[in-house]
Amino acid sequence: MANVLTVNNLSKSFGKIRAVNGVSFSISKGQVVGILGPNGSGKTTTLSVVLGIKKASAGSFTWFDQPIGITKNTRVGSLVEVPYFYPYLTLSKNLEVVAKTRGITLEHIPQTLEMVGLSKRAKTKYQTLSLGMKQRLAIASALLGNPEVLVLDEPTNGLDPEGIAEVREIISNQSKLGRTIILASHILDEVEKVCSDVIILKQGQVISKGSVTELLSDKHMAIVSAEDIDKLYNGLKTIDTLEIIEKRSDNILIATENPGIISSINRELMQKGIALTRIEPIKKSLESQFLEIIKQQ
Amino acid sequence: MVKKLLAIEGRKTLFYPTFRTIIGLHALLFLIVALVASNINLNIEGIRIDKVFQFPHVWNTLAWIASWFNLLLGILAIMLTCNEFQFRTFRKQLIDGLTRNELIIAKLFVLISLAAYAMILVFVSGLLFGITKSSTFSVTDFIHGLQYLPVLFVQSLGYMLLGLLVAFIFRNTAFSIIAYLLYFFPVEPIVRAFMSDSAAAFMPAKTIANLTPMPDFVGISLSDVIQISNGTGSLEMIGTAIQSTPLLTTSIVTIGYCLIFGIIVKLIAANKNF
Repeated sequence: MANVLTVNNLSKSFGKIRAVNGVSFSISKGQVVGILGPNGSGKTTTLSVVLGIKKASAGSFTWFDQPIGITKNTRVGSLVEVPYFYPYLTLSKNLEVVAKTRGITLEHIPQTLEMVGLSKRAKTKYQTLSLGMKQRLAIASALLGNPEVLVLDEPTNGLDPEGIAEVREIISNQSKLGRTIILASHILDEVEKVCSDVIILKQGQVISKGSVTELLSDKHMAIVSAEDIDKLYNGLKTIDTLEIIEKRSDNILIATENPGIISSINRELMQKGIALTRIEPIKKSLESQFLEIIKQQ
Repeated sequence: MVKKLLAIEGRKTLFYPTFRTIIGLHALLFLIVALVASNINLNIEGIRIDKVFQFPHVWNTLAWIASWFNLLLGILAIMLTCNEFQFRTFRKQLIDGLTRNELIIAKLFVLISLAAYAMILVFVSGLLFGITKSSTFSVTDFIHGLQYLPVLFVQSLGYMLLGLLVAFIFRNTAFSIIAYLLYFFPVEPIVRAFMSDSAAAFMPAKTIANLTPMPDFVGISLSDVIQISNGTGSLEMIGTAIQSTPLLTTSIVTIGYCLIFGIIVKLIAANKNF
Protein backbone atom coordinates (compact mmCIF):
# COMPACT_ATOMS: atom_id res chain seq x y z
CA MET A 1 0.00 0.00 0.00
CA ALA A 2 1.31 3.46 -0.88
CA ASN A 3 2.75 5.45 1.95
CA VAL A 4 1.09 8.74 2.68
CA LEU A 5 3.64 9.90 5.22
CA THR A 6 7.06 8.43 5.92
CA VAL A 7 9.14 9.80 8.77
CA ASN A 8 12.78 8.71 9.03
CA ASN A 9 14.83 9.22 12.16
CA LEU A 10 13.36 12.68 12.70
CA SER A 11 14.81 14.88 15.46
CA LYS A 12 14.02 18.39 16.58
CA SER A 13 15.88 20.29 19.28
CA PHE A 14 15.08 23.59 20.94
CA GLY A 15 18.41 24.73 22.33
CA LYS A 16 19.60 21.94 24.57
CA ILE A 17 16.19 20.33 24.77
CA ARG A 18 15.58 17.51 22.32
CA ALA A 19 11.81 17.53 21.80
CA VAL A 20 11.83 14.81 19.13
CA ASN A 21 14.56 12.19 19.12
CA GLY A 22 14.93 9.85 16.15
CA VAL A 23 11.25 9.28 15.44
CA SER A 24 10.45 6.92 12.55
CA PHE A 25 7.09 5.69 11.32
CA SER A 26 5.06 5.42 8.18
CA ILE A 27 1.37 5.88 7.54
CA SER A 28 -0.40 4.18 4.66
CA LYS A 29 -3.36 5.33 2.61
CA GLY A 30 -6.67 4.88 4.41
CA GLN A 31 -5.18 4.40 7.87
CA VAL A 32 -6.63 6.32 10.79
CA VAL A 33 -3.66 6.76 13.08
CA GLY A 34 -3.71 8.14 16.59
CA ILE A 35 -0.54 9.75 17.91
CA LEU A 36 -0.53 9.44 21.68
CA GLY A 37 1.79 10.56 24.39
CA PRO A 38 1.91 12.50 27.63
CA ASN A 39 2.43 16.26 27.60
CA GLY A 40 5.86 17.12 26.23
CA SER A 41 6.24 13.79 24.46
CA GLY A 42 6.82 15.44 21.08
CA LYS A 43 3.45 14.89 19.36
CA THR A 44 2.84 18.48 18.31
CA THR A 45 6.51 19.07 17.47
CA THR A 46 6.55 16.00 15.21
CA LEU A 47 3.39 17.16 13.44
CA SER A 48 4.71 20.74 13.21
CA VAL A 49 7.85 19.47 11.48
CA VAL A 50 6.03 17.25 8.99
CA LEU A 51 3.62 20.10 8.26
CA GLY A 52 6.51 22.45 7.55
CA ILE A 53 5.98 24.85 10.46
CA LYS A 54 9.21 23.87 12.16
CA LYS A 55 12.45 22.77 10.60
CA ALA A 56 13.83 19.36 11.51
CA SER A 57 17.19 19.32 13.29
CA ALA A 58 17.93 15.92 11.76
CA GLY A 59 16.21 13.18 9.81
CA SER A 60 13.74 13.45 6.98
CA PHE A 61 10.14 12.90 5.98
CA THR A 62 8.19 12.53 2.77
CA TRP A 63 4.54 13.04 1.87
CA PHE A 64 3.24 10.64 -0.78
CA ASP A 65 6.83 9.38 -1.18
CA GLN A 66 7.95 12.83 -2.29
CA PRO A 67 9.76 15.59 -0.42
CA ILE A 68 7.44 18.24 1.02
CA GLY A 69 6.22 20.50 -1.75
CA ILE A 70 3.32 21.87 -3.67
CA THR A 71 1.53 18.51 -3.77
CA LYS A 72 0.99 18.69 -0.02
CA ASN A 73 -1.15 21.84 -0.23
CA THR A 74 -4.19 20.29 -1.82
CA ARG A 75 -3.71 16.72 -0.61
CA VAL A 76 -3.22 17.39 3.10
CA GLY A 77 -5.61 19.35 5.30
CA SER A 78 -4.55 20.10 8.83
CA LEU A 79 -5.53 21.55 12.16
CA VAL A 80 -2.71 22.07 14.64
CA GLU A 81 -3.69 22.78 18.26
CA VAL A 82 -5.89 25.87 17.93
CA PRO A 83 -7.62 27.58 15.04
CA TYR A 84 -5.61 30.39 13.42
CA PHE A 85 -7.78 32.86 11.53
CA TYR A 86 -8.19 36.58 10.93
CA PRO A 87 -10.68 37.76 13.59
CA TYR A 88 -11.94 40.68 11.49
CA LEU A 89 -12.79 38.54 8.45
CA THR A 90 -16.00 36.60 7.92
CA LEU A 91 -15.91 32.82 7.85
CA SER A 92 -16.18 32.82 4.04
CA LYS A 93 -13.36 35.33 3.62
CA ASN A 94 -11.16 33.36 6.03
CA LEU A 95 -11.77 30.20 4.03
CA GLU A 96 -11.09 32.15 0.82
CA VAL A 97 -7.65 33.02 2.19
CA VAL A 98 -7.05 29.33 2.99
CA ALA A 99 -8.34 28.23 -0.42
CA LYS A 100 -6.14 30.71 -2.26
CA THR A 101 -3.15 29.67 -0.16
CA ARG A 102 -3.70 26.01 -0.90
CA GLY A 103 -4.59 26.55 -4.54
CA ILE A 104 -8.17 25.32 -4.17
CA THR A 105 -11.09 26.83 -6.06
CA LEU A 106 -13.50 28.96 -4.04
CA GLU A 107 -16.46 26.80 -5.11
CA HIS A 108 -15.65 24.31 -2.34
CA ILE A 109 -16.31 26.83 0.43
CA PRO A 110 -20.14 26.67 0.77
CA GLN A 111 -20.12 22.88 0.69
CA THR A 112 -17.35 22.68 3.30
CA LEU A 113 -19.12 25.10 5.63
CA GLU A 114 -22.24 22.97 5.23
CA MET A 115 -20.21 19.88 6.18
CA VAL A 116 -19.31 21.37 9.57
CA GLY A 117 -22.71 23.01 10.14
CA LEU A 118 -21.57 26.60 9.70
CA SER A 119 -23.22 27.51 6.40
CA LYS A 120 -25.65 29.90 8.11
CA ARG A 121 -22.74 31.76 9.71
CA ALA A 122 -20.79 32.24 6.47
CA LYS A 123 -21.07 36.04 6.66
CA THR A 124 -20.36 36.21 10.39
CA LYS A 125 -17.05 37.61 11.57
CA TYR A 126 -14.72 35.00 13.05
CA GLN A 127 -14.20 36.98 16.28
CA THR A 128 -17.89 36.57 17.19
CA LEU A 129 -17.83 32.75 17.11
CA SER A 130 -17.89 30.46 20.14
CA LEU A 131 -14.87 28.23 20.78
CA GLY A 132 -16.69 25.21 19.39
CA MET A 133 -17.61 27.06 16.21
CA LYS A 134 -14.02 28.27 15.80
CA GLN A 135 -12.83 24.68 16.07
CA ARG A 136 -15.43 23.60 13.51
CA LEU A 137 -14.20 26.32 11.15
CA ALA A 138 -10.66 25.03 11.65
CA ILE A 139 -11.84 21.57 10.68
CA ALA A 140 -13.63 23.10 7.67
CA SER A 141 -10.36 24.73 6.71
CA ALA A 142 -8.63 21.34 6.93
CA LEU A 143 -11.41 19.69 4.90
CA LEU A 144 -11.38 22.35 2.19
CA GLY A 145 -10.88 20.81 -1.23
CA ASN A 146 -11.48 17.26 0.05
CA PRO A 147 -7.86 16.46 0.90
CA GLU A 148 -6.70 12.85 0.94
CA VAL A 149 -5.17 13.25 4.38
CA LEU A 150 -6.38 15.05 7.49
CA VAL A 151 -3.88 15.94 10.20
CA LEU A 152 -5.65 16.91 13.41
CA ASP A 153 -3.71 17.87 16.52
CA GLU A 154 -5.87 18.02 19.63
CA PRO A 155 -9.01 18.89 17.67
CA THR A 156 -11.16 18.89 20.80
CA ASN A 157 -8.85 21.08 22.85
CA GLY A 158 -10.73 23.48 25.11
CA LEU A 159 -14.16 22.41 23.92
CA ASP A 160 -17.16 21.75 26.12
CA PRO A 161 -18.75 18.26 26.02
CA GLU A 162 -21.18 19.34 23.30
CA GLY A 163 -18.34 20.74 21.19
CA ILE A 164 -16.29 17.58 21.72
CA ALA A 165 -19.22 15.46 20.57
CA GLU A 166 -19.68 17.63 17.47
CA VAL A 167 -16.01 17.47 16.50
CA ARG A 168 -15.84 13.74 17.21
CA GLU A 169 -18.80 13.17 14.93
CA ILE A 170 -17.15 15.10 12.11
CA ILE A 171 -13.92 13.07 12.49
CA SER A 172 -15.86 9.85 12.67
CA ASN A 173 -17.76 10.71 9.48
CA GLN A 174 -14.50 11.55 7.71
CA SER A 175 -12.90 8.28 8.74
CA LYS A 176 -15.93 6.40 7.39
CA LEU A 177 -15.34 8.10 4.05
CA GLY A 178 -12.00 6.31 3.87
CA ARG A 179 -9.87 9.38 4.36
CA THR A 180 -6.39 8.95 5.87
CA ILE A 181 -6.47 10.65 9.27
CA ILE A 182 -3.59 11.43 11.62
CA LEU A 183 -5.03 12.36 14.99
CA ALA A 184 -2.99 13.51 17.96
CA SER A 185 -5.13 13.62 21.05
CA HIS A 186 -5.06 13.44 24.82
CA ILE A 187 -8.51 11.90 24.81
CA LEU A 188 -7.69 8.22 24.51
CA ASP A 189 -11.30 7.19 24.40
CA GLU A 190 -11.65 9.34 21.30
CA VAL A 191 -8.60 7.73 19.67
CA GLU A 192 -9.84 4.25 20.59
CA LYS A 193 -13.19 4.93 18.95
CA VAL A 194 -11.85 6.48 15.78
CA CYS A 195 -8.37 5.13 15.09
CA SER A 196 -7.24 1.88 13.53
CA ASP A 197 -3.61 2.32 14.56
CA VAL A 198 -1.65 4.16 17.21
CA ILE A 199 1.85 5.52 17.63
CA ILE A 200 2.85 6.17 21.23
CA LEU A 201 5.51 8.76 21.93
CA LYS A 202 7.38 9.42 25.15
CA GLN A 203 10.19 11.91 25.64
CA GLY A 204 10.43 12.45 21.92
CA GLN A 205 10.75 8.79 20.98
CA VAL A 206 8.38 6.19 19.58
CA ILE A 207 7.90 3.64 22.35
CA SER A 208 5.12 1.63 20.77
CA LYS A 209 3.20 1.41 17.54
CA GLY A 210 0.70 -0.96 16.05
CA SER A 211 -2.98 -1.53 15.50
CA VAL A 212 -5.42 -0.69 18.28
CA THR A 213 -6.71 -4.30 18.18
CA GLU A 214 -3.22 -5.72 18.73
CA LEU A 215 -2.55 -3.28 21.49
CA LEU A 216 -5.68 -4.21 23.39
CA SER A 217 -5.56 -7.98 22.98
CA ASP A 218 -2.55 -9.24 24.91
CA LYS A 219 -3.28 -8.58 28.60
CA HIS A 220 -6.05 -8.86 31.18
CA MET A 221 -6.55 -6.15 33.72
CA ALA A 222 -8.30 -5.59 37.03
CA ILE A 223 -8.75 -2.94 39.68
CA VAL A 224 -8.08 -4.13 43.23
CA SER A 225 -8.36 -2.33 46.52
CA ALA A 226 -7.94 -3.03 50.23
CA GLU A 227 -8.20 -1.02 53.44
CA ASP A 228 -4.41 -0.62 53.53
CA ILE A 229 -3.34 0.30 49.98
CA ASP A 230 0.38 0.30 50.78
CA LYS A 231 0.18 -3.19 52.28
CA LEU A 232 -1.79 -4.35 49.25
CA TYR A 233 0.80 -2.79 46.94
CA ASN A 234 3.62 -4.63 48.71
CA GLY A 235 1.63 -7.86 48.61
CA LEU A 236 0.94 -7.55 44.89
CA LYS A 237 4.62 -6.94 44.21
CA THR A 238 5.41 -10.43 45.48
CA ILE A 239 3.21 -12.09 42.83
CA ASP A 240 5.55 -12.71 39.88
CA THR A 241 2.95 -13.22 37.18
CA LEU A 242 1.30 -9.93 38.01
CA GLU A 243 2.18 -6.48 36.78
CA ILE A 244 1.26 -3.33 38.67
CA ILE A 245 0.20 -0.72 36.17
CA GLU A 246 -0.76 2.15 38.40
CA LYS A 247 -1.04 2.75 42.14
CA ARG A 248 -3.84 5.17 42.85
CA SER A 249 -5.01 6.70 46.15
CA ASP A 250 -7.73 4.10 46.79
CA ASN A 251 -7.03 1.28 44.33
CA ILE A 252 -4.38 -0.36 42.17
CA LEU A 253 -4.58 -1.22 38.46
CA ILE A 254 -3.01 -4.57 37.71
CA ALA A 255 -2.42 -6.59 34.53
CA THR A 256 -1.52 -10.18 33.72
CA GLU A 257 -1.20 -12.39 30.67
CA ASN A 258 -2.91 -15.25 32.54
CA PRO A 259 -6.66 -14.64 32.95
CA GLY A 260 -6.90 -17.29 35.73
CA ILE A 261 -4.55 -15.41 38.01
CA ILE A 262 -7.03 -12.66 38.69
CA SER A 263 -9.43 -15.06 40.39
CA SER A 264 -6.62 -16.56 42.45
CA ILE A 265 -5.30 -13.20 43.65
CA ASN A 266 -7.78 -13.05 46.51
CA ARG A 267 -6.62 -16.41 47.84
CA GLU A 268 -2.94 -15.56 47.54
CA LEU A 269 -3.37 -12.20 49.27
CA MET A 270 -5.45 -13.73 52.08
CA GLN A 271 -2.51 -16.03 52.79
CA LYS A 272 -0.41 -12.88 53.21
CA GLY A 273 -2.98 -11.39 55.58
CA ILE A 274 -4.42 -8.90 53.11
CA ALA A 275 -8.20 -8.78 52.67
CA LEU A 276 -9.33 -7.36 49.36
CA THR A 277 -12.32 -5.03 49.51
CA ARG A 278 -12.66 -4.91 45.73
CA ILE A 279 -11.51 -6.95 42.76
CA GLU A 280 -12.95 -5.87 39.46
CA PRO A 281 -11.77 -7.30 36.15
CA ILE A 282 -11.94 -4.50 33.62
CA LYS A 283 -12.38 -4.43 29.94
CA LYS A 284 -9.04 -3.22 28.76
CA SER A 285 -9.17 0.23 27.30
CA LEU A 286 -6.65 2.12 25.25
CA GLU A 287 -6.24 4.36 28.27
CA SER A 288 -5.15 1.52 30.58
CA GLN A 289 -2.91 0.05 27.89
CA PHE A 290 -1.42 3.47 27.21
CA LEU A 291 -0.68 3.94 30.91
CA GLU A 292 0.93 0.52 31.05
CA ILE A 293 3.19 1.19 28.05
CA ILE A 294 4.16 4.61 29.32
CA LYS A 295 4.99 3.16 32.73
CA GLN A 296 7.09 0.32 31.28
CA GLN A 297 9.37 2.65 29.34
CA MET B 1 2.69 33.15 -7.90
CA VAL B 2 2.28 36.95 -8.04
CA LYS B 3 -1.46 36.65 -8.73
CA LYS B 4 -1.92 34.09 -5.97
CA LEU B 5 -0.05 36.12 -3.35
CA LEU B 6 -1.85 39.33 -4.33
CA ALA B 7 -5.21 37.54 -4.05
CA ILE B 8 -4.32 36.30 -0.55
CA GLU B 9 -2.93 39.62 0.69
CA GLY B 10 -5.77 41.56 -0.92
CA ARG B 11 -8.37 39.68 1.10
CA LYS B 12 -6.43 40.00 4.35
CA THR B 13 -5.57 43.66 3.92
CA LEU B 14 -8.50 45.37 2.20
CA PHE B 15 -11.02 43.94 4.68
CA TYR B 16 -8.93 44.94 7.71
CA PRO B 17 -10.77 47.88 9.32
CA THR B 18 -7.56 49.41 10.76
CA PHE B 19 -6.00 49.37 7.30
CA ARG B 20 -8.93 51.33 5.89
CA THR B 21 -8.79 53.78 8.82
CA ILE B 22 -5.04 54.42 8.52
CA ILE B 23 -5.13 54.78 4.72
CA GLY B 24 -8.14 57.10 5.02
CA LEU B 25 -6.36 59.12 7.71
CA HIS B 26 -3.19 59.25 5.62
CA ALA B 27 -5.00 60.59 2.56
CA LEU B 28 -7.14 62.97 4.59
CA LEU B 29 -4.26 64.46 6.59
CA PHE B 30 -2.16 64.87 3.46
CA LEU B 31 -4.96 66.59 1.56
CA ILE B 32 -5.91 68.84 4.50
CA VAL B 33 -2.30 69.98 4.98
CA ALA B 34 -1.83 70.51 1.22
CA LEU B 35 -5.14 72.42 0.91
CA VAL B 36 -4.43 74.61 3.91
CA ALA B 37 -0.87 75.32 2.76
CA SER B 38 -1.98 76.10 -0.78
CA ASN B 39 -4.48 78.64 0.51
CA ILE B 40 -2.08 80.55 2.70
CA ASN B 41 -1.98 83.96 1.12
CA LEU B 42 1.27 85.74 1.87
CA ASN B 43 1.84 88.23 -0.87
CA ILE B 44 4.47 90.55 0.51
CA GLU B 45 6.19 92.81 -1.98
CA GLY B 46 5.83 90.29 -4.81
CA ILE B 47 6.80 87.20 -2.77
CA ARG B 48 3.94 84.71 -3.33
CA ILE B 49 4.01 81.59 -1.17
CA ASP B 50 1.42 79.78 -3.34
CA LYS B 51 4.00 79.52 -6.11
CA VAL B 52 5.22 76.30 -4.50
CA PHE B 53 1.93 74.71 -5.66
CA GLN B 54 2.51 75.68 -9.28
CA PHE B 55 4.26 73.53 -11.86
CA PRO B 56 7.05 72.47 -11.57
CA HIS B 57 7.48 73.13 -7.81
CA VAL B 58 4.26 71.33 -6.84
CA TRP B 59 5.88 67.87 -7.15
CA ASN B 60 8.63 68.65 -4.64
CA THR B 61 6.20 70.45 -2.33
CA LEU B 62 3.63 67.65 -2.26
CA ALA B 63 6.27 64.90 -2.04
CA TRP B 64 7.73 66.77 0.94
CA ILE B 65 4.28 67.10 2.59
CA ALA B 66 3.52 63.42 1.85
CA SER B 67 6.80 62.43 3.48
CA TRP B 68 5.49 63.74 6.83
CA PHE B 69 2.92 60.94 6.79
CA ASN B 70 5.24 58.11 5.74
CA LEU B 71 5.55 57.14 9.39
CA LEU B 72 1.84 56.23 9.25
CA LEU B 73 2.56 53.85 6.39
CA GLY B 74 5.49 52.41 8.36
CA ILE B 75 3.21 51.84 11.35
CA LEU B 76 0.64 50.24 9.06
CA ALA B 77 3.34 47.87 7.74
CA ILE B 78 4.16 46.95 11.36
CA MET B 79 0.51 46.31 12.20
CA LEU B 80 -0.12 44.18 9.12
CA THR B 81 2.96 42.06 9.89
CA CYS B 82 2.54 41.79 13.67
CA ASN B 83 -1.09 40.74 13.14
CA GLU B 84 0.22 37.68 11.34
CA PHE B 85 2.34 36.77 14.36
CA GLN B 86 -0.41 37.63 16.84
CA PHE B 87 -3.13 35.69 15.02
CA ARG B 88 -0.53 33.01 14.19
CA THR B 89 -1.66 33.15 10.60
CA PHE B 90 1.92 33.07 9.26
CA ARG B 91 2.04 29.66 10.92
CA LYS B 92 -1.23 28.63 9.32
CA GLN B 93 -0.09 29.76 5.89
CA LEU B 94 3.05 27.68 6.26
CA ILE B 95 0.88 24.70 7.20
CA ASP B 96 -1.32 25.38 4.19
CA GLY B 97 1.67 25.27 1.89
CA LEU B 98 3.24 28.72 1.46
CA THR B 99 7.00 28.84 1.80
CA ARG B 100 8.76 31.25 4.15
CA ASN B 101 10.00 33.19 1.12
CA GLU B 102 6.45 33.49 -0.19
CA LEU B 103 5.30 34.89 3.16
CA ILE B 104 7.86 37.68 2.81
CA ILE B 105 7.27 38.25 -0.89
CA ALA B 106 3.53 38.57 -0.20
CA LYS B 107 4.22 41.26 2.40
CA LEU B 108 6.60 43.01 -0.01
CA PHE B 109 3.77 43.16 -2.56
CA VAL B 110 1.60 44.89 0.05
CA LEU B 111 4.35 47.40 0.82
CA ILE B 112 5.01 48.06 -2.88
CA SER B 113 1.26 48.59 -3.41
CA LEU B 114 1.15 51.05 -0.50
CA ALA B 115 4.18 52.94 -1.84
CA ALA B 116 2.48 53.07 -5.25
CA TYR B 117 -0.69 54.38 -3.56
CA ALA B 118 1.34 57.19 -1.90
CA MET B 119 2.92 58.05 -5.25
CA ILE B 120 -0.44 58.07 -7.07
CA LEU B 121 -2.01 60.20 -4.32
CA VAL B 122 0.74 62.81 -4.78
CA PHE B 123 0.53 62.59 -8.57
CA VAL B 124 -3.25 63.11 -8.70
CA SER B 125 -3.24 65.90 -6.11
CA GLY B 126 -0.17 67.48 -7.77
CA LEU B 127 -1.98 67.44 -11.08
CA LEU B 128 -5.03 69.15 -9.55
CA PHE B 129 -3.05 71.72 -7.56
CA GLY B 130 -0.70 72.38 -10.49
CA ILE B 131 -3.53 72.95 -12.96
CA THR B 132 -5.56 75.15 -10.62
CA LYS B 133 -2.65 77.18 -9.26
CA SER B 134 -0.46 77.64 -12.36
CA SER B 135 -1.28 80.63 -14.50
CA THR B 136 0.41 79.14 -17.54
CA PHE B 137 1.00 75.54 -18.57
CA SER B 138 4.00 74.11 -20.35
CA VAL B 139 5.01 70.48 -20.77
CA THR B 140 8.52 71.35 -19.59
CA ASP B 141 7.20 72.78 -16.33
CA PHE B 142 4.88 69.79 -15.91
CA ILE B 143 7.63 67.21 -16.37
CA HIS B 144 10.28 69.08 -14.44
CA GLY B 145 10.23 67.82 -10.86
CA LEU B 146 8.28 64.64 -11.63
CA GLN B 147 11.31 62.70 -10.41
CA TYR B 148 10.03 63.37 -6.89
CA LEU B 149 7.26 60.81 -7.49
CA PRO B 150 9.51 57.73 -7.88
CA VAL B 151 11.69 59.21 -5.13
CA LEU B 152 8.64 59.35 -2.83
CA PHE B 153 7.90 55.74 -3.83
CA VAL B 154 11.39 54.66 -2.75
CA GLN B 155 11.10 56.72 0.43
CA SER B 156 7.73 55.22 1.43
CA LEU B 157 9.11 51.76 0.71
CA GLY B 158 12.14 52.53 2.90
CA TYR B 159 9.93 53.56 5.82
CA MET B 160 7.73 50.49 5.44
CA LEU B 161 10.59 48.02 4.99
CA LEU B 162 12.18 49.33 8.17
CA GLY B 163 8.75 48.77 9.81
CA LEU B 164 8.66 45.23 8.39
CA LEU B 165 12.11 44.53 9.81
CA VAL B 166 11.16 45.86 13.26
CA ALA B 167 7.95 43.77 13.16
CA PHE B 168 9.89 40.61 12.35
CA ILE B 169 12.29 41.30 15.22
CA PHE B 170 9.72 42.11 17.92
CA ARG B 171 6.61 40.30 16.58
CA ASN B 172 4.45 42.40 18.89
CA THR B 173 2.55 45.43 17.58
CA ALA B 174 3.04 47.73 20.59
CA PHE B 175 6.74 46.93 21.09
CA SER B 176 7.42 47.22 17.38
CA ILE B 177 5.72 50.60 17.00
CA ILE B 178 7.53 51.96 20.07
CA ALA B 179 10.89 50.63 18.84
CA TYR B 180 10.22 51.98 15.34
CA LEU B 181 9.37 55.49 16.59
CA LEU B 182 12.25 55.46 19.09
CA TYR B 183 14.64 54.62 16.27
CA PHE B 184 13.63 57.74 14.36
CA PHE B 185 13.76 59.81 17.53
CA PRO B 186 15.95 59.78 19.59
CA VAL B 187 18.08 56.69 18.83
CA GLU B 188 19.42 57.54 15.38
CA PRO B 189 19.76 61.29 16.02
CA ILE B 190 21.85 60.51 19.13
CA VAL B 191 24.03 58.08 17.16
CA ARG B 192 24.42 60.66 14.40
CA ALA B 193 25.54 63.25 16.94
CA PHE B 194 28.69 61.18 17.52
CA MET B 195 29.42 60.79 13.81
CA SER B 196 30.98 63.07 11.24
CA ASP B 197 28.46 64.99 9.13
CA SER B 198 29.39 63.11 5.97
CA ALA B 199 28.89 59.72 7.64
CA ALA B 200 25.75 60.80 9.53
CA ALA B 201 24.09 61.78 6.25
CA PHE B 202 24.12 58.11 5.24
CA MET B 203 22.44 56.71 8.35
CA PRO B 204 19.16 54.94 7.41
CA ALA B 205 16.56 57.35 8.83
CA LYS B 206 18.51 60.41 7.71
CA THR B 207 19.07 59.07 4.20
CA ILE B 208 15.45 58.08 3.78
CA ALA B 209 14.21 61.43 5.12
CA ASN B 210 16.64 63.35 2.86
CA LEU B 211 14.95 61.96 -0.22
CA THR B 212 12.21 64.57 -0.13
CA PRO B 213 13.93 67.77 0.96
CA MET B 214 12.00 70.82 2.05
CA PRO B 215 11.39 73.06 -0.94
CA ASP B 216 13.32 76.31 -0.99
CA PHE B 217 10.26 78.45 -0.31
CA VAL B 218 12.11 81.76 -0.44
CA GLY B 219 13.96 80.88 -3.64
CA ILE B 220 10.75 79.75 -5.32
CA SER B 221 8.83 82.79 -4.11
CA LEU B 222 11.55 85.13 -5.33
CA SER B 223 11.99 83.31 -8.62
CA ASP B 224 9.94 85.89 -10.55
CA VAL B 225 12.01 88.71 -9.17
CA ILE B 226 15.26 86.86 -9.91
CA GLN B 227 14.07 85.87 -13.38
CA ILE B 228 13.31 89.47 -14.15
CA SER B 229 16.60 90.64 -12.82
CA ASN B 230 18.72 88.10 -14.67
CA GLY B 231 16.43 88.08 -17.66
CA THR B 232 16.75 84.33 -18.35
CA GLY B 233 13.13 83.43 -17.74
CA SER B 234 14.34 79.96 -16.79
CA LEU B 235 13.47 78.25 -13.57
CA GLU B 236 16.54 76.05 -13.73
CA MET B 237 18.44 76.17 -10.46
CA ILE B 238 16.09 78.74 -9.04
CA GLY B 239 13.93 77.43 -6.25
CA THR B 240 15.48 73.97 -6.35
CA ALA B 241 15.43 72.41 -2.95
CA ILE B 242 18.53 72.79 -0.83
CA GLN B 243 20.20 69.39 -0.65
CA SER B 244 23.53 68.38 0.77
CA THR B 245 23.70 65.03 -1.08
CA PRO B 246 22.55 64.60 -4.69
CA LEU B 247 19.09 63.07 -5.02
CA LEU B 248 20.32 60.18 -7.15
CA THR B 249 22.98 59.21 -4.60
CA THR B 250 20.46 59.38 -1.76
CA SER B 251 17.99 57.29 -3.78
CA ILE B 252 20.60 54.63 -4.51
CA VAL B 253 21.66 54.48 -0.85
CA THR B 254 17.98 54.18 0.19
CA ILE B 255 17.43 51.36 -2.30
CA GLY B 256 20.52 49.73 -0.79
CA TYR B 257 18.99 50.04 2.69
CA CYS B 258 15.72 48.57 1.38
CA LEU B 259 17.65 45.56 0.08
CA ILE B 260 19.49 45.18 3.39
CA PHE B 261 16.21 45.36 5.37
CA GLY B 262 14.68 42.78 3.03
CA ILE B 263 17.65 40.42 3.34
CA ILE B 264 17.63 40.64 7.15
CA VAL B 265 13.87 39.89 7.19
CA LYS B 266 14.50 36.88 4.94
CA LEU B 267 17.25 35.62 7.24
CA ILE B 268 15.04 36.05 10.32
CA ALA B 269 12.17 34.22 8.61
CA ALA B 270 14.46 31.41 7.50
CA ASN B 271 15.88 30.77 10.95
CA LYS B 272 13.04 31.45 13.37
CA ASN B 273 10.10 29.20 14.11
CA PHE B 274 6.64 30.58 13.41
